[in-house]
Amino acid sequence: VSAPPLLTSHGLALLCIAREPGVGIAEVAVAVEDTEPAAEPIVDDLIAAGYVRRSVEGGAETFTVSADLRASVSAGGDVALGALLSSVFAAGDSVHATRRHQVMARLLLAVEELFDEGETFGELTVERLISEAGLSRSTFYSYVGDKSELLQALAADVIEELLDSAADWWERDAPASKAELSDALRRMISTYMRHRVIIGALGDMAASDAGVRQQFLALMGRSAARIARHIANGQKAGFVSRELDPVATATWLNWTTERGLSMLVAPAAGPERERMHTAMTDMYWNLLYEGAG
Amino acid sequence: MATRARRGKRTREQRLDEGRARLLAAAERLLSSGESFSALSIGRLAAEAGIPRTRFYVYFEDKNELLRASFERPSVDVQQASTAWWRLDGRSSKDDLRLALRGLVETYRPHHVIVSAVLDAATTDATIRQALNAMMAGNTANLREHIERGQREGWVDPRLLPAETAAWLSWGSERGVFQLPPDATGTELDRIVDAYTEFVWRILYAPARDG
Repeated sequence: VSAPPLLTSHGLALLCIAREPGVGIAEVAVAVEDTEPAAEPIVDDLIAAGYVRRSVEGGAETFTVSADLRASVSAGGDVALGALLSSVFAAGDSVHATRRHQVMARLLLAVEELFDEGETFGELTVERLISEAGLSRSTFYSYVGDKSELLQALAADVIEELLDSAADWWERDAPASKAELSDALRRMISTYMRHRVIIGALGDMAASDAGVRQQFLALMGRSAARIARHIANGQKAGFVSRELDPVATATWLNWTTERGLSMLVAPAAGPERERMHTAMTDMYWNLLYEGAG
Repeated sequence: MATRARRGKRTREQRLDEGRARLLAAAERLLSSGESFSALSIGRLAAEAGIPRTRFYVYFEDKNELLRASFERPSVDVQQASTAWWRLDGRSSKDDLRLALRGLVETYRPHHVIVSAVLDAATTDATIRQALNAMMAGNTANLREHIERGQREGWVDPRLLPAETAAWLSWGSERGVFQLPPDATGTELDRIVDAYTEFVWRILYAPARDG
């Protein structure tokens, strides 16, 4: 059962406007996790109730909160809106973090949609990106310094997702069968394919951008550490061959996986990708489990 | 007269070769001192080689052509070192494999800076990418033949898909070898080579030997 939502769309929109006086409709749409046309009537309601004021700046509409107005919080009573909002913010600065998360999710979606339309990350301009994501320049730059920083932020989440996609296999005991290993690797491949634009850009930009390179190597290190832990645990439990040096083997397997996914699996089509997946499964199986225990 | 013309032509080619060699050596020196290939300018390369900047274009069309030329030697050396692996068969032991792979790793090491520059440039330049892919395709084809021969003769796991497994192992060793710390020595190098040996042995040969 998922947690009940504590705030309505109206509440989310109000918080968004209260936190950043002068925001536009695009930011509000991010906050309510919906489109701009869907966010407009919500803001209209808030304006009609007197909670929010509308003004026009340089041709664009912006919104601010009327903090001294009394807001009804229940059928029985009301409270000064300013006091209500400040107690909400005092309850946690996580609103900013949540919002950042939402902005990043939007940017990731925009990058991946533009890639499907044939634009690589290297060619993308910030202008193109924010217009696709429906964000203002100021929102973009309040969360991200530049494209390189954006890539690093997006890649951190994507790689984490990639590692997690196979987590129930390598965080756990031995795979019961080769079929189970095959399924885990298939999930990894499909996560990779979904995010290949980000992962590919990470590898490419690592060649020329020192910040990205550092990030890339750090993420590869994290991934290798997980494999090494799986090998060491497996050796203790007796399902991985004791002849393997956990750290050095993990390093080879990790780079092999990274290269293979990007150079072999991603460019392959249909049946050829299936064969690459089969060969990958046999490779992992023979290396780690075959003849062990 | 024909003799003279031929001699004159040979001399010009010799001069070209000499100029190219000087630029290649200059590039390798600059890269070894920690400069990145993408940041190297033609002027810097020419100055290091002791030739006027405009002469650069007599020897190479551009920086990428120079890099492709630098990559010829490592490609050939690696190909040659790899034959020690392709030649292994059912009588070969794990130590034979270790020796062959050690030779391969040690062949890469002197070429480390050039190969790193090639890997970096391959992300942005199609001709460099082609040169790299051509080398990898050659290695993959040889390894595939090796696997197929082993499967016919019964010393490679018969379940493996030859072409795809060869591709995985080739690309895996590409990055694995290139990512080696260039200054790894003694026990550290032994450890890396041992892990590589175990890696290849268990994937290709062990299932056929034990079963």
